[in-house]
Amino acid sequence: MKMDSQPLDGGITLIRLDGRLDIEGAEALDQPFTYATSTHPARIAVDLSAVSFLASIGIRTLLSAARGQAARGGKLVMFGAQPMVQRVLKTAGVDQLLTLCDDLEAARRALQD
Amino acid sequence: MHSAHARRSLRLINDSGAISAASAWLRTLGDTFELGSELVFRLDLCVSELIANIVSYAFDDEAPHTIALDLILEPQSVKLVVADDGREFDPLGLPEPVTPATLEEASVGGLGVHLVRQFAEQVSYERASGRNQLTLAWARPGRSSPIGARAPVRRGIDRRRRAPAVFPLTRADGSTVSTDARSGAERRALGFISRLELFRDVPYALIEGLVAHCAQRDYPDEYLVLAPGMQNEHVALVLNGRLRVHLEDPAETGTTGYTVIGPGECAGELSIIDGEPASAWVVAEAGTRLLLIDAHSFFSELLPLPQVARNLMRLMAARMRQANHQVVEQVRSSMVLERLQSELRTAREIQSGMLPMRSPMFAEHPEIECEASIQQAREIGGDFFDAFFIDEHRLFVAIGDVCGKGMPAALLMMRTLTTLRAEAARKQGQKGHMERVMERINRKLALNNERMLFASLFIGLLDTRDGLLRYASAGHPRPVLVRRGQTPTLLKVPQNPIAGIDPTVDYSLAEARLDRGDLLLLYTDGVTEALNAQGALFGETRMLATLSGLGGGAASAIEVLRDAMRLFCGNQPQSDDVTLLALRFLGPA
Repeated sequence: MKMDSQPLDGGITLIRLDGRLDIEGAEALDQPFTYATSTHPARIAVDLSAVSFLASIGIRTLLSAARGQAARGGKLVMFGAQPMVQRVLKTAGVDQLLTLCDDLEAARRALQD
Repeated sequence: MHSAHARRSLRLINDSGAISAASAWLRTLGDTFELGSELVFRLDLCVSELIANIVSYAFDDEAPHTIALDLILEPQSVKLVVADDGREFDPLGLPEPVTPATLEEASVGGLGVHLVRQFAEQVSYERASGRNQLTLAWARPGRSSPIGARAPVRRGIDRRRRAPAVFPLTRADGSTVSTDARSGAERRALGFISRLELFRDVPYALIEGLVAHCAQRDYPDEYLVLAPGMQNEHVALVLNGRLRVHLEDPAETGTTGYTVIGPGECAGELSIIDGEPASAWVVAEAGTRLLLIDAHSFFSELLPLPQVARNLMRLMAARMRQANHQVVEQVRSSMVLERLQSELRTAREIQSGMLPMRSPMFAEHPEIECEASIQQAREIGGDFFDAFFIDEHRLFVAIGDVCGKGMPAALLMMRTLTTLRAEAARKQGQKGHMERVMERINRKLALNNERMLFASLFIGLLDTRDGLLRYASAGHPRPVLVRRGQTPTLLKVPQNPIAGIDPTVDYSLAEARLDRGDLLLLYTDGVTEALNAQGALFGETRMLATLSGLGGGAASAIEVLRDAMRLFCGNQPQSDDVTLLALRFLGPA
């Protein structure tokens, strides 16, 4: 699991996740992702397009990032999930809790709201 | 490679590495046998969740255990068998998780099993010889057949029953079913049966004929399925979506205070059984699909099946337990709350009763004007003040604030006040009297202070013959001195630590002389730390400005300051006690 982040214009931070969000992926992400998403208020777009697998432990990671950011007063949205990843999020019912967008443009709009 | 038949096995030890090992094994096999990315994802997800559960929950001891994985490929199907010798656990017996409404409520407990049930096409569970064995099955994507045109696979695998139904079938009540009346489409449409609580462990063939002919209905969002007084004629089984059961009219109370009936559960069985009209509001949420079984079929065809009757009883027992539990919890919490509130009321009364709340305080002493005001915050707080003559001429005043709120603070405040009175009255006028009062209080608070509660305290002794004020402070906000015709200032106070921390502190005293008409205002930090809606503090500067140009006496000083605070804070609720004690020296009698 790899993660990198870059600032975009409009005060948005883009975080790209790449790999499998399974137990190992979630462990690898635990510190850097939590640090990047939950320590200060920000507007964050998380790119899921390179996430090839998602299990419940990974849902936990995504949920706690969104929750952490909401608690800081910022906003975190995700976009570009592959169909099966999208399906896991939907089946878990967390698509109602997380903001899932189709692409970066939609994510930007969601963050501007 | 697309072998028609194959079997591969993997044995793992129940450590945390097992999840990744199983996942890697399945992905390799998926490549080898060309199972396709979607099916591999499903296999991978199911095996990850199941092994995570087994590793975390199945074993009570520290010894290593074996988890057995078998992947069985047949021409039309792919099966994954997961077996362990841990405690009995039937994932099919778990209720569906309720989707949390907000991010704060969201947790992922129980999610793994839910995902497995949704991402496997068939799930069956067996407990035999002390082992859990879970079999997951999928249709096998064919090399020749394009996706979407797979060979039909019988869904809703018979649990604990491998052989297909043989007709004629004998029902539990002795009647027989002579032929299989189902069409192929019906069979495929009935995959949900295995997920319905009411049909748990019921042989599939006994009910699918009946169920196939029951109505399935989709409901628009927020559709009122039942309301009190309505005659109910069906048992409704939730196939998709969910029902909300409200005991009060949801049109009036909105969407609060309800219970949820989710997929696999049923509603309406109570009014079918006792024939009474419905007693609650039942509302369908978006995407709800119900299977409606009419009362006649329910009684004549389903209830005679022993497993159905047993499931129904189990369901009703669970409802009854839940209802009992809710009632007990409600009674318990209202009793606890009531007792707590009454204790707090009593505490507040006792506390207020200890303070000299009269105005004017010393009508018999024309040489002094003394007024006080205390405004308690909603919670019981720790502010206190006192004023009394220790002899004919000398007035003792004190103000303090015990840190913290609630009962411990209130008790400590009372203890401090009692100590204060006793010490102030002892050996009065002797050298070192005031120092001793301060040191005694500090020591009393500091010793036996397990809860680490502290108090700020200001005490003063005013000789009304000459206006000499001797005073000491333990970390208390500096009082305001308003000399007649001058700008208000903060009294110079020797810095001493807050009381209750270090029992060995020596407190130093200071002196000031009050002239005729001078006013001394003691207050607690509830004044300077009052907040307005923007989060700004009332502050010392604002307090001093409010008091400048003050013409009136002690009572009007308190009034002016309280008015200014009210104006500043607006509707912001008061978060701390606000206590004021004003003392004006009018000259020797």
